[in-house]
Amino acid sequence: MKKLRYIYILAFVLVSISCEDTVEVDLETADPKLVIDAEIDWKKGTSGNEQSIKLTETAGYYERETPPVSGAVVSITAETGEIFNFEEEPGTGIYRCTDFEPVIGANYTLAIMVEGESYTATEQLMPVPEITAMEYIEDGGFIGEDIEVRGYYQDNPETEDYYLTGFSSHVLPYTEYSVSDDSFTQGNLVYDIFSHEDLDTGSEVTMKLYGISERFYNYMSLILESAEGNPFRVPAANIKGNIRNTTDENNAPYGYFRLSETSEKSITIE
Amino acid sequence: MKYLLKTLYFIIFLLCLHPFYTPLWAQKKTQTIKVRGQVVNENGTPLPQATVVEYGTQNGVVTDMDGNFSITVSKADAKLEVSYMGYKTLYTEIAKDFIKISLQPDASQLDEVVVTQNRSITEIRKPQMSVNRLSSEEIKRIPAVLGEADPLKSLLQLPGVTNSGEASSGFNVRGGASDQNLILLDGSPIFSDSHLLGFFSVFNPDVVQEMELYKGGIPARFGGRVSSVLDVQQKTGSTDRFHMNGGIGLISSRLLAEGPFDNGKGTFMIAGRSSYAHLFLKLADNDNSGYFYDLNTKLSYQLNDNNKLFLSAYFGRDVFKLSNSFSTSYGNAMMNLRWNHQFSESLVSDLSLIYSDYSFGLDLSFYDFEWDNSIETYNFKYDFNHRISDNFQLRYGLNALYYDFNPGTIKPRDSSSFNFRQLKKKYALEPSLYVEAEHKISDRLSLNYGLRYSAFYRYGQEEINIYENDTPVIFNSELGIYENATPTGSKHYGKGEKIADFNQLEPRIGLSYAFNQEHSVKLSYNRMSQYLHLLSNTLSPTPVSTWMPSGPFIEPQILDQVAFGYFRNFKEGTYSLETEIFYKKVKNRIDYIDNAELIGNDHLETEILKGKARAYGLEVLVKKNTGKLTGWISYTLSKAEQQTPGRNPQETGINNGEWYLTPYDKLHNLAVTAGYQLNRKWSLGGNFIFQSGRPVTFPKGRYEIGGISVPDYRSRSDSRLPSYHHLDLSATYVPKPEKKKGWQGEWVFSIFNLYGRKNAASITFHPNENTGYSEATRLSVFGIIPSIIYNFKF
Repeated sequence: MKKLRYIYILAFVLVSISCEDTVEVDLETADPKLVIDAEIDWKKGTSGNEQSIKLTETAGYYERETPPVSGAVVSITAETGEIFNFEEEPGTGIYRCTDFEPVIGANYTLAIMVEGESYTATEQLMPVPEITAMEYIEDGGFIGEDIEVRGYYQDNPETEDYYLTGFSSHVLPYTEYSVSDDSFTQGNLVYDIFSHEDLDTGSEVTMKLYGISERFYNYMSLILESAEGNPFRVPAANIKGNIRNTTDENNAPYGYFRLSETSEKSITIE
Repeated sequence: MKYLLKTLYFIIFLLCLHPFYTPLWAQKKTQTIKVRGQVVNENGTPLPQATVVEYGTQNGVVTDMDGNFSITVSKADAKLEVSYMGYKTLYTEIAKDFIKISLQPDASQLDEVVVTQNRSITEIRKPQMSVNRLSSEEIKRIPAVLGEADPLKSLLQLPGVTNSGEASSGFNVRGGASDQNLILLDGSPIFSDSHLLGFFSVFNPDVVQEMELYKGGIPARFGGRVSSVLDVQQKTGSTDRFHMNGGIGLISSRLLAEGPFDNGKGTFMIAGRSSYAHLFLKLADNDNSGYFYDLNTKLSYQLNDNNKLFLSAYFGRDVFKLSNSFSTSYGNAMMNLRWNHQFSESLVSDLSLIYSDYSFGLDLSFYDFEWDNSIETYNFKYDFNHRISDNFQLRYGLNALYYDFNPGTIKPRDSSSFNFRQLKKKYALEPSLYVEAEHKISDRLSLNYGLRYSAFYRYGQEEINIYENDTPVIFNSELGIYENATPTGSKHYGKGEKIADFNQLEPRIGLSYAFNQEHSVKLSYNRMSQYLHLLSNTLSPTPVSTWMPSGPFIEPQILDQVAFGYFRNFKEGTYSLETEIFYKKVKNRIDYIDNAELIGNDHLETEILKGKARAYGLEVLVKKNTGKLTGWISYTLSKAEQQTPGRNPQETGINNGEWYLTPYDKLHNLAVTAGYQLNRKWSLGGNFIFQSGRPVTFPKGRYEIGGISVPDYRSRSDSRLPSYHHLDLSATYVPKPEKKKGWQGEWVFSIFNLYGRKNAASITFHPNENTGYSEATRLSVFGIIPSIIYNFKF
């Protein structure tokens, strides 16, 4: 339960009283590794036919772009045996499909052939509840001075559920993600929180909720912790997803094959 | 009792081996005189561990916790030489019965008397090695952050002691983890050693009489943790008169009162310390606050000649409140009632009843729930100190320690999306027995040997999960990841029903061989067991401090350590040298699978992998004990590693089963501590620390997943932070050094981190919050910090 990590909240206080600055660190760059970003999102109320998968390689830490991987053969096979092919937009490493058919709870298998090696992964399409309401308070946030947005959804009391939540807003250069599970909130009306010191009248905040599997929850927890750079923890090395390299078992790619139903809602601060 | 008897046989066996041994019953042919007494300081406070020597001989004893001693001298006109670290050595005639010896501090009197000897001198003949003592005087002379003398931080100046960085709680001894230190305050275990997340220790420097840190060759009377024992003694109140002392600093103030009552039969000491609120949290004009306080007391009462009662207590809390988002309060409490009984001059016992509690409470307003967790212990201890002859002393005793763990309670409020949850409470009993002998075999050879038998019982009421093949963590070999196993069922244990039990025999031995009065070699071996595991995957312990008792899936940690050392005093003890090498290994050291959930988890066995740890190193300590300039240089070269291999060839373990450096490994660790008495009014202090940066993992690239930039870490702890160093200075000004009565004050001026080095507490890798580009961010805690403190007594 990642919300419980706030029990370590005092550590954040320490950060707030100490001094942070940007430093130059000489870093080595390891041999490039394939990164498979296969995220199938089916927004409620849409057909979900249009999907894309992105193939890149790892780059030097300070590099602004990660190089695309072109020339791959990419497909997803449904339980029914139906095959959805993904065609590359030439030279971009982005592979698109326009006839994907999402089914809640169904299993799908990803197959990729690139540079002589085959990759495969199987995952289930996970359902998600509707975001029922969004609201904001003026005196929220860590020190009670920022605008704080809350988005509510009803947890299913019958199942063990895992969620990925993304908040996006013009005040952020990137989407702020978090993962959670229902082990302490089973069957309740649950909320997620976003606050930022730059939120003001007219700001729009969008919350996106994804239904995810337990394995993706574990994977994403590690990804988020690495990405945030927790100064109090030893970061996980070689974070492994659910994609196997069937040609060379010891050379697993980075990335994950995830299929989620998603729900989205926005609020404008007045 | 079986082991006690065995040990006794072993002792008798040794005695018979020694051809020059004079039997106990034949020894006292010559005229001997027993002298009993007590050593106190200028205020009448008893001084434990003071040295009392029959002048001109090798015959000497050390005072007990209450400053009492008993020595047998050979002639009626013998003189006693009484010394204590930081105090002027005193020579005194013996008296018929009880003598009270009052020592004067040496610092203010250097001009008048050249101190010839004090207790900083290295013990040449005692078999105890790997031990460091710091008296409250020494602690106060070491300049500290924000000017606040800190017993725990002063330990970092000693060889073999490090921590995982500035403002981090806990400390690491000889490459051991911080949960492997047994911290005793007047005999009671303390589970969390710091305030304000490690800025200050829980020990008020005014209250600490003395502390001893055992890093190796740990005597059999201690057990329960594998790395070290820090034995902190609160001071006993003055027997002379009522007086007070205290200090006013920038962060906190202290006040202590002590004195006799009931015509000197009893003494009391009561002390308080509190920081000022709002100091750290001037974030806004909100009602934010963060502060801590401590209350300490020690009462003693002499019932009659042979019976004394002591009551020690401590209560400390940290309190944080941040607007309406959260508030927290946590800390230790303990109480110890001790009955000291003298059966005869040679046999003394201490019976202790101890209660301790550590609790952590948090109110997370923005999710509308409260969280509590705690550890309570009830401890019964009966210790005997039996002086059989001048050359042979036995200590033996028993201990029963009962634990009550509450891993967490979640209490939601009305609007909360959280459900009420009580995590499974855990109960355990740790009984132990020990016998320990200090045995002087000849003028050159002395031994300290002992045996401890410890056991551990986990009791219900608890529901324990059952897993296929008893394997709560499974390895997914297709994906190469560890995952939690799904339980196949569970077993209910009723209240008081035994869930698991362990026991261990722990031999301890120390030997010293003195070539002469000036130098010796020492050797020690100790085996220890630890039945508790701190659950923490952060670099230093957090105040949450959840502990896991050994049980069905977690075995106790077992340590074996050997140490060898060479000890020497030069120029009649003006200088001394202590060097030691050590090697230790620990079995059943746990580590965690990636993404382990350690908070709010009833099935921690599904997050844990078993491994081992080892550490080895060289320690050098050079001291200048006397004169205007005193101090020491300590250097440690060491390595601390951990290994968590796979359980079968398919599994990867952690770091592919290879050894990895622990986060507190410090290859080089140099500390210089010096004090200089300029004149009667001014004294100067300084310290310098240089350490290798701690091991960290640096990325070897980055990649993107769903628009998130992820640093690409390939192996664990493959780099180090930049070297850590700082220089601190202090100056103490005593306006009226000649004044010995009434109000006496002193000013302490200090500068921490004189050249303002920005030591990296961490370097993290994440995108810039505005540009989104990847960068490296250094977190440094203390820049240059000047401070001033006023101390007083009357």
